[in-house]
Amino acid sequence: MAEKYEFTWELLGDIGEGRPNLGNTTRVEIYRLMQFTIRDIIEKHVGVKETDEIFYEAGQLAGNAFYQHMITKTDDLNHFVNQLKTVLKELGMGILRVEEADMVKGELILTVSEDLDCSGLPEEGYEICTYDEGFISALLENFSGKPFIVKEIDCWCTGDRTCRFSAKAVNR
Amino acid sequence: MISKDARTILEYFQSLLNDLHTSPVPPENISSDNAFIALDQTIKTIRNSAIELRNGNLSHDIRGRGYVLGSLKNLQASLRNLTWITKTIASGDFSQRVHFLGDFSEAFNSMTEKLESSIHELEEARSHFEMVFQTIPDATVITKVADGTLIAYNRAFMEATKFTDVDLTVGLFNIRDLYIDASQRESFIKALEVNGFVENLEICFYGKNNERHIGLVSSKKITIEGMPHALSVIRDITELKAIEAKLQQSEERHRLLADNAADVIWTMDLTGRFTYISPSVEKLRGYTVEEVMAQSQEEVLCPGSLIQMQEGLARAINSVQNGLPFQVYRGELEQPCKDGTTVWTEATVSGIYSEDGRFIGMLGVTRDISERKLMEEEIRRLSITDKLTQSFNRLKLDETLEQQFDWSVSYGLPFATIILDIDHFKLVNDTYGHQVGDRVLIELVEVLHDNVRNGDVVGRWGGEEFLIIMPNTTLADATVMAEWLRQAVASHAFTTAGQVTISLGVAAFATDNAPETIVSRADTALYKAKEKGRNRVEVC
Repeated sequence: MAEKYEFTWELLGDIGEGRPNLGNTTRVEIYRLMQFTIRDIIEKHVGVKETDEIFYEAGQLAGNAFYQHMITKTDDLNHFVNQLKTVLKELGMGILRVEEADMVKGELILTVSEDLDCSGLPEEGYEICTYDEGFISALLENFSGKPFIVKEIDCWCTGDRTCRFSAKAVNR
Repeated sequence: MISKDARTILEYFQSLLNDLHTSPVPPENISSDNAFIALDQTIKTIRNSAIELRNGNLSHDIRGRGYVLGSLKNLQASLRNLTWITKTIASGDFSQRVHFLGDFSEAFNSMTEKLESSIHELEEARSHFEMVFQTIPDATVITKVADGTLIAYNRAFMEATKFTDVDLTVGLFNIRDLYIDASQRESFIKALEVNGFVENLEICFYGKNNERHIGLVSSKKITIEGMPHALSVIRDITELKAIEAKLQQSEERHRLLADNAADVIWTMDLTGRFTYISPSVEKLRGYTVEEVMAQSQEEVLCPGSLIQMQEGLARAINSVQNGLPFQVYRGELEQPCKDGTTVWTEATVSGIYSEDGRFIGMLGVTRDISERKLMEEEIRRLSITDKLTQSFNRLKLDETLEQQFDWSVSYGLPFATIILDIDHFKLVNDTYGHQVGDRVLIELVEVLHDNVRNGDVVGRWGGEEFLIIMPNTTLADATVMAEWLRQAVASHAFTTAGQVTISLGVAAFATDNAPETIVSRADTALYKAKEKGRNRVEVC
């Protein structure tokens, strides 16, 4: 069956044209309202595991498009990280910090504070930033050319006050 | 008031939170309570995590949940991120900044900016030094003082020594091996260690193909990574030395020539002081070199020549001051000798200029021309002397006559002439022969010379005719003199010929327009004397 809404960057529309008065910002709770309601319904339809996979893949799709449109291609890790930090901060998506980075081994540990998805959420005892995982893995793959598996190891929702992600390159 | 159990629990947790050493055993009656176990675990995790963070261990795995542990994890994350940022900055990426850590962010970022600016300045300074180092036209090297290991070198060093980059592998090449004389390196190191620098030390060293170089080395002791090093600039003076040696040879050769030349060679500055004089001066004037060097100009030259020389010196100064070429001076100078006599010399003086055209002084060559002077004098004498009688000849008489005429015209001074002729001289020749006739002429001149005054000029006018020019003499005085001469001749016994008489005509300067007219008038008077019977004086 043909897709109804195959994602392209253009699908985001001309926000300046469409929202001349309200502009291109909205409240975080509205973003979360949409995400968690969608997640709720999908979970009901396909279960938790598959929902996580859907969110991870959606994050990857977003990460790919984000890299292509928001990041200037570079081979320098520091330059890449600096760009990413700046754009994530400017867009109010979170405060990115690198704790460890070994591109030879293909291992990174990143944290995102004040994360758009989870910061301030009630403590639930499980990590929730599956979408972020996919998003980060796509960014790293676009930068390095190698696929990455990203796993959230600490999350606000697990009472950790910051989201920590472990990223490891996959040897094909 | 609280129960004893509650107090025991409180004390247990207080100890966990506050004490260095804690009791490992929880209160017995509650140790199996799940809530207690969870709280106990959380507080222990907080305690252990805090201890690890205090110790700087950022790898400690903080397990557990909750606000405080989350905050500790956040702190740990920030510190780990700082560690990464610091490492990144240390690797040279100064674009990293810290945000959301309050005053620390600002302090850290300022430090990063300062560090970047300092590193940039250092890099600029290093780059500047590198550029200067490479563009120094002289060979420049940095070596370890301790063992001579080459640390850096510039292109000029390669050009001078012909070593290539491969030959000069930094850290392996040793400058010590280039010294021709090892003791020179010892002196160099000693001077460097004592003074901290070395200036223009002459050192001989080998190039790549064992060719010998002479370098003028200036060094400064510098410290690199705590070790003393020498920054040395080596001016290759090999060619200069060769030229210097040639010059020295040439100078020695010239000095040898000057010292041994018969001519006196000297140099003088524009103040008129000798700066060099060759020893031959002693042979010329009897004075030693030292004596001459100490003499004033007045002692070096006779008054007439001194004026000449002073004028020449003034011209030289004028030329030099106006940037004009020095005109070679050549002149005859009379110089006093140690024995009181004088010597005539010919001096040739020219300017000495440096390669860049700067006037240095004067170079003079003085030659003894005494003999030439004598010869010239003899030639002059012969040119005005009658060969037979050794009296003046017609040339001298004409000159004197003209001179006297000019003086008389100019100053109104009187002068007179006597023209005389031997009576019947043909008869003498015919009777006794020409040799006796010649003898008569010679003796006649002797008689005349014996009787004229000093200053009177006696000369052979032609054949047996003689002319006497008498300066500052009136016609009357000349007539008296003529009569005196007539008698003297008449009373003289000529060899073989016996008695010989003369006839004399006298004339004095009056209103004559030319000297010839005076002689002509005297000649007329002579003719008259002959007419009147000879052996007499007539006046016109």
